[in-house]
Amino acid sequence: MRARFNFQSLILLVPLAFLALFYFYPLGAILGFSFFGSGALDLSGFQEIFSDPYYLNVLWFTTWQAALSTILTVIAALPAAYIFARYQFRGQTLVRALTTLPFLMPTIVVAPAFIALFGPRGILNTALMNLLGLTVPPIQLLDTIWIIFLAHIFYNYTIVFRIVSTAWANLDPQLGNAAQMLGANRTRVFFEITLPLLMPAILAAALLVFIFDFTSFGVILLLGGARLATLEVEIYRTAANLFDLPLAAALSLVQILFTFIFILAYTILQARLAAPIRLRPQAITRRALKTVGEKIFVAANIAAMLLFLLAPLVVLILESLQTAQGFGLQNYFALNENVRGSATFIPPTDAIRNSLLFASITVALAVAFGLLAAYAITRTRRGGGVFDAVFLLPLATSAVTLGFGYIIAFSRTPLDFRAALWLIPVAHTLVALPLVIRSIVPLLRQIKPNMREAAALLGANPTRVFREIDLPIVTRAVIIGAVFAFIISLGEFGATTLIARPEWTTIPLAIYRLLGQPGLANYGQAMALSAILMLVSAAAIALMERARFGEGAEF
Amino acid sequence: MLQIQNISKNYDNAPLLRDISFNIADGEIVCLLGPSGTGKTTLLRIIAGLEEADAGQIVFDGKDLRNIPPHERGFGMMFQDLALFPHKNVFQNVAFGLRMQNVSHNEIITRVNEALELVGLDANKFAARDVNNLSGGEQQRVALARTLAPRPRLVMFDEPLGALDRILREELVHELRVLLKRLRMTALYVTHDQGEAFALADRLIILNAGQIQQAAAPPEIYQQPANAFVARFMGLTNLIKIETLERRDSEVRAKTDAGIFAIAKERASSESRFVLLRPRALERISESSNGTENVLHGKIVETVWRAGHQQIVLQVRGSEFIFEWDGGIELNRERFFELDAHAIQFLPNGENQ
Repeated sequence: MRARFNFQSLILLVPLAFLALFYFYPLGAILGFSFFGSGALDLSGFQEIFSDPYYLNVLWFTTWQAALSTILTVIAALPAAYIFARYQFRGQTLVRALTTLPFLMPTIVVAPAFIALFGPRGILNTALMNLLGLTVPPIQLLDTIWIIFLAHIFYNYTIVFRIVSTAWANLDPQLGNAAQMLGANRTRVFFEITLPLLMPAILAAALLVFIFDFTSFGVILLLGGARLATLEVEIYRTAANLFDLPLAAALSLVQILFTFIFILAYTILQARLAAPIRLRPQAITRRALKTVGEKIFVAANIAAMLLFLLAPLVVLILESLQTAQGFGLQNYFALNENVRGSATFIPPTDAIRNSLLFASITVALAVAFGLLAAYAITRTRRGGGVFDAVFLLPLATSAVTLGFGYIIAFSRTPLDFRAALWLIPVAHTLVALPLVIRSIVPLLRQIKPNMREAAALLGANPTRVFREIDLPIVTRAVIIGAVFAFIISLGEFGATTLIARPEWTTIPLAIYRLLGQPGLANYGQAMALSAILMLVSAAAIALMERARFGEGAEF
Repeated sequence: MLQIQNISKNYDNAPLLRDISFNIADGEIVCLLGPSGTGKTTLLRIIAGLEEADAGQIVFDGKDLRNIPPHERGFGMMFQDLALFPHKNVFQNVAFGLRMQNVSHNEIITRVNEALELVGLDANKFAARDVNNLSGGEQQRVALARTLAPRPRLVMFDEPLGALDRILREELVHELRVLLKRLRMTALYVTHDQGEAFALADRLIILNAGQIQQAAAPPEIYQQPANAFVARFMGLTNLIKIETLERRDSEVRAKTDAGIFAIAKERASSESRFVLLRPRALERISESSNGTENVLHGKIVETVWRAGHQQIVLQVRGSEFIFEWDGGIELNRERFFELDAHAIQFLPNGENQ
């Protein structure tokens, strides 16, 4: 037993050391900087944040936009959650798979997609102007709170839809029947039985959405204009534009405190979710559509859902093909040009090459550390939960905070990594690692000791046991983890924008800079680059959905 | 009175219930008995209004229930998996139906306590308990209290004791019958367990392949099974296929693989397809036979002690028959087994009709 324990601690040591150096150390640097930024203890940063109406405003805006976005997302996603939980219809699996797209899309793609749809040059405005003979775009959503709400709903719809739908599908319909037999009409059944039982799931989903909206960065930066700023955007501006590092550190610390509280609340709710509701196999709880009314209700909902979730992505491709001479591939060809003094510093094709390089390194690092950590978590009886929580922590720290931590932690000897190219994939790995571990652990848990024993009793030698039992499951875990890491690295924006040098420009950085420049050519190239990023991400997601598909077939 | 009239229901384009009709008188306990998958639960849900029949009517006290939703029918139902509300405690579960009737708060307390006492649970001890932390038997009792508390006009049970072990089940079934009779409840109870049905029912309805096979009081069903299916379902397994049927003046003779059997004419019909040898049919074991009718020629291959009787397993040309026999025996010797003609019945097929 003892020897085994030592072996496990060794396995854990590698990812833990990585976490210590590239997560806890930068976090500590922020903490130190926020209190001792000028050498001695200095609380003026915090004083400024909590007394200056500007920062109080930022804090207030961050909170209410997140709260409202969350409520709107829940309301928007509930009908679909119900439909997928209670009805069975053709194409259900496909539609469910399609809903993963928006959630896993990089924010830096979501913003251009919404600009392509609602922007002054966007498809809706162009169509309306042509149709009505207007000279001014009639839809003015950019830089308003409304487009931020829309983008947030678009982005987080899937979270609410998936979590609530699963909980609803596992809810025993017999409970509703029992209430009916006791004299409750449909409304009372919903409010007395269904809603209270779904509440933990709804709250958990809402809290997760709230955390994402609270730390929203790319969407606000690109769609919110100069007036609207969340805490996350403010940290970025203070650090990157104003170079006020102590203040940025104080802001980061406030943000970290908030997110930690939210994550803690989420974890507690998650534990409550596992509470004593007897789950039912979904085959029992779902039924085919019968009446015409049901069919219309479901069809209309699915249509609205697909239109809302897919239209921005489709429009993005259309916009990228739009040129001054009509439809064409000019925007794509232009990506190879190196204009002197261009917005992106390097030709966008070089950015694509950079991104692919960083993503490859990230995949290798994240999968290696993820497997080691997941193995240790699943094989350690006691303490597994603690390590699980420790490896989840980076999820509670926003990307901008992390990038900012890197700036102040790794700019002095002996840890001066400012010129180190690998710092970017390391940052990406940290952002990806919690999700990679989360996706690998459940798969590894599927390998039960008695499966190995059963295989051995059926005549498989240890090598054979590994090849037939462990390997197929581990392979799937690796594919899923790799895809997660790949997508996250490709689309990572917040941390990269703070630590990347001009010559390391990635696709998201290039898109951001192109969008910040006037001119049809820049707009077209931004759309083309976004479309490429979206298609590559979509292809990777499709690959993952295929690898995931087997999970359901196990049962 | 509940009247079930010509109920039919298709499921996945195959008939699940075919032209089902029967009545339940006030205060009567009827058991719907049949193997799994014969549509018993569906019939119950149609009566409850939770599902719609393709044809036929449900009439209660002369009123057609067609357009009345389940929550306005005033029926109670105890579900197979009990369906206790996991987010409500014992008191809140039992009070639910009363709250739906807008019963006053004070009366709810009185009636919940009454209902809990009725099912043998101490209200002081159980009212505030979490339903998820009760034992299986306690959960059954809470579910029963919840079903009875609103005083339903008809109470239905969908195999509510399936999950319990046999001894607890027999105990609860007995209690349930005493309770239902005391409250003069009209009840319809669905089960696939004949022991449960026999212990509970005033009248049994045997269902198979979506059709009623027989409806009668428990002793009658056991004494006079309407067909081979019912016989087999009652555990009467000594069935022999009839090759030819011959009518004579006073008796009917059936030729089979295992021999020739003859019974009085009145006791056979033209649809007879099977000979049933009842478990107590064996009269005498002898080394030579006096007649050729109602005699089996074979050997005893096994004895089993069951329910206070010795049972012998008789092998006749590859078929096995089981009889109760308390006399002496010799294993594996060829003998003649003479049977009592009154314990022999000719039955129609009954399956796949």
